[in-house]
Amino acid sequence: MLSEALQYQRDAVNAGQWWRFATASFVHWSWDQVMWDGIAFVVLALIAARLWRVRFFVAFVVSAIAIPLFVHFFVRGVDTYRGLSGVDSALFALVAIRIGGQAKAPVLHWICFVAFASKIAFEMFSGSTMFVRELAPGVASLPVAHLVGAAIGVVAALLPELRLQCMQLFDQRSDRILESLHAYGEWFSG
Amino acid sequence: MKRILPFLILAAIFAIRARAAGTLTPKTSTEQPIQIVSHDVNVVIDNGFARTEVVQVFHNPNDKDVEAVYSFPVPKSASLSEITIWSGDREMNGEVVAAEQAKKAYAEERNAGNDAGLGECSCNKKKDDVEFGSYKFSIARVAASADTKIRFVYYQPLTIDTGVGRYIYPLQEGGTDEAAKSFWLRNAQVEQRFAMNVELKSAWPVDEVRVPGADAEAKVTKIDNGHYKVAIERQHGDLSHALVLYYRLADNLPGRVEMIAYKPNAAATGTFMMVVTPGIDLKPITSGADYVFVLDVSGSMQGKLATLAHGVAETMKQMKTGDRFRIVAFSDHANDVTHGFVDASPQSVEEWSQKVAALTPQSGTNIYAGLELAIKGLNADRATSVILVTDGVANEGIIDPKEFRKLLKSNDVRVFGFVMGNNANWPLMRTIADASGGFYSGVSNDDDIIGQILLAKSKITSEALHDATLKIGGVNVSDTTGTVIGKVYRGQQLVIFGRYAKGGRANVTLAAKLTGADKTYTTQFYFPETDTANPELERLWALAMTEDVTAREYAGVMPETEAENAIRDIGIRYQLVTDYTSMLVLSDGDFAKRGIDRNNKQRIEVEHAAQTVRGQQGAQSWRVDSSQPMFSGQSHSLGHGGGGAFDPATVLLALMLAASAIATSRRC
Repeated sequence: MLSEALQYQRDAVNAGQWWRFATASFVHWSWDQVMWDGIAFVVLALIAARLWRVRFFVAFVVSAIAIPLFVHFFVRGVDTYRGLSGVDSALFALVAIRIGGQAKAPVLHWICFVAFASKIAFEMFSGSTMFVRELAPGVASLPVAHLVGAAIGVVAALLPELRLQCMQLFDQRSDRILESLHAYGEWFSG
Repeated sequence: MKRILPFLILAAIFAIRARAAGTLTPKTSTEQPIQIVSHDVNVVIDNGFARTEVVQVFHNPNDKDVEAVYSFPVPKSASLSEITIWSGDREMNGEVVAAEQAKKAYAEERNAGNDAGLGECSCNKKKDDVEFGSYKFSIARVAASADTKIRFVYYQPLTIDTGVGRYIYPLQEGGTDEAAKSFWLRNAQVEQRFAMNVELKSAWPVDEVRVPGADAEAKVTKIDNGHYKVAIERQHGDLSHALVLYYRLADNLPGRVEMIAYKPNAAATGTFMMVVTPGIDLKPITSGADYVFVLDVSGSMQGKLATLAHGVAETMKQMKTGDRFRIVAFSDHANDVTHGFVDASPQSVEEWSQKVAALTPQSGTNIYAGLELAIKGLNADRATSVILVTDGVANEGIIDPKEFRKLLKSNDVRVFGFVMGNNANWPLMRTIADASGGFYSGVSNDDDIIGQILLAKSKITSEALHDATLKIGGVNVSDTTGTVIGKVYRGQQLVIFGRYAKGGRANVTLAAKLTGADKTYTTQFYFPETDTANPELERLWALAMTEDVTAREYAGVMPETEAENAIRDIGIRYQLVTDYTSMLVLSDGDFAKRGIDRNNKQRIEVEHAAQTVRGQQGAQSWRVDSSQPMFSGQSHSLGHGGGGAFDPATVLLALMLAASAIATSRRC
């Protein structure tokens, strides 16, 4: 009954129960789904939160809310949604991109990255998930949730790079401004 | 407003072994049972009805000729139309005659040592020598240490429910005919091959096809958007589990009227099957409601109670704040398990789920006592729905359908009946549903229980049309069934059969009330002057007429002898096996010797010719209201649930990625 109150439900959202966008990712259709999604989340979240706290936070929060929003606006045939695997996909992409950017990423990393990307491509091409057919009677696994999550994870992985570069650029310009001010001050006092 | 959650029923049925189809040997016999060598089923589902052909090979392991008896549960609304027996090189076909005449002729031929066959039915009436709810096929002489092949064919209308079609191959019975159980030894094992091939043709796109419980072994091939083939093959199968096939139509289909007609020439009387799929906005019901679960805990429910309890629990978890429930259990008497209504809170749901799980089976099935107790003490200010779950036939207490009708007519409740197994007392369930404005559904033990739950939930948690009737003007129609409808639930299809004399332009109007307001939906289209594509329609119409006659007999508006005569006449004229007609299988010469006309042979030739033509075509659209749609809205569909789920393989990838991340971060 709690799951029903927290899942994304089209007619409930249309009636004003907007909190469901934030809670849908955290309820599930079965204990099986909880277990597998939960294991992936714990493992990936521990790594991401430890190594890239801000990026983890962005990927986690944005994907948790954005995926049910995406379903609401762009997947009209789906009336209810639950599950954490979209968030897991975001964290997977985040970890994979960040590690891939390191100079000495191991071969294992690339195997995982390619396998995950291939799985998502297969799901989008075939319209069905590779292994999970039905989560509950009348409930199908949604491949697009994984794609949207992965996209959010990629953005979360790359966006801080831009920010970091902007920060560096800002720092450089700040240093030059300070040097100029120092020189002016010396001249003024001079 | 009322809401019903019929989840219980299905759960109780699921994964429970009960009696199966199979060959029957008297327990007192000294002979070895007849063996079933192979069992092949070929099904064609073509826009509104299914044709099922079963081909079975028997082997006689004895060193003398014996009689073979085979029992098969009667599928709902099935018209058994063909029986062919091959004995050596000899092929014999069946003709339908009065049951007594058929039985006498078969006995004479058998006693004379001749080849003969007999197909009988205990469809709605109990018989001494035919299991209730079953067809019984008898083959007079299976030669010693030799094989005999039998083939039979039946037709059934198939409706779409909330966008989902469902076909059941009913191998499993309800297990309530105690007398038969005590007399026969049943052999349900197939020694070699069990194969099922289904061809589905739909004019509307089909999104998904499933065979719950056999998804892994079913080979589903998509030929076109509405054209699928499903193949299942097993070695050493058994006939104790029904096979259920679901197909789900695409979403966003229009509300529509479809009609198939058969009129061989301008002078002949035409037959039509009209299917109305409403496209009306029926809103969800949001106020709290009361539910009374009436659960069969009779002896035949032994082994099913655990899943029944699971179904009750799952159902109660679906309830909303403000709902209440009450549990009545019945066997030979009824018992109020909850002693009144209980608020549907998570704690009470958990508590009563456990108590239901602790119920123990008793003897006897007193459905009347269960319903009577369920109806007592209702709150007139709250909408109440009764969910009845039973697996068989009422055999204790009041069993007269007229008494059931009187009980339910005098109270404002809806009864939603779910019958487990395939040899249920359908006319009684129909009487109960009709008298209360509810609905009834059979659920096979191998059915997709939760899927059925979702279908029923969709119906009972939404508004419904009331006092619905359908009128056909402009064309002279007669002998119609299904025009006085009553309630129309979300997702329900309306099927109307009838005859017509002459083609022409018809005005069809569906009138009903929705939340107190009068509503009418109309369209116009032509009834054809000739149409030879679907001659099987005559049998389907005839079967619908016999069901109507039986319902009127059960309601007390038609005397039993009048009903018997009407059904016998229809059965003989349209060659259907019923309670009062049987199919006698003889050689051509023996039919001639007995002066029996070959009406079925002629009918079958016409049907086979039409089937050959249809077999070469794709699915045809039979929509007749395209130019003037009866409904402006879309037909109801179940709506998809969606979920994000990682599979174990992806979780393994995540673990590997985490390991590589740790290794990389340590190196850096």
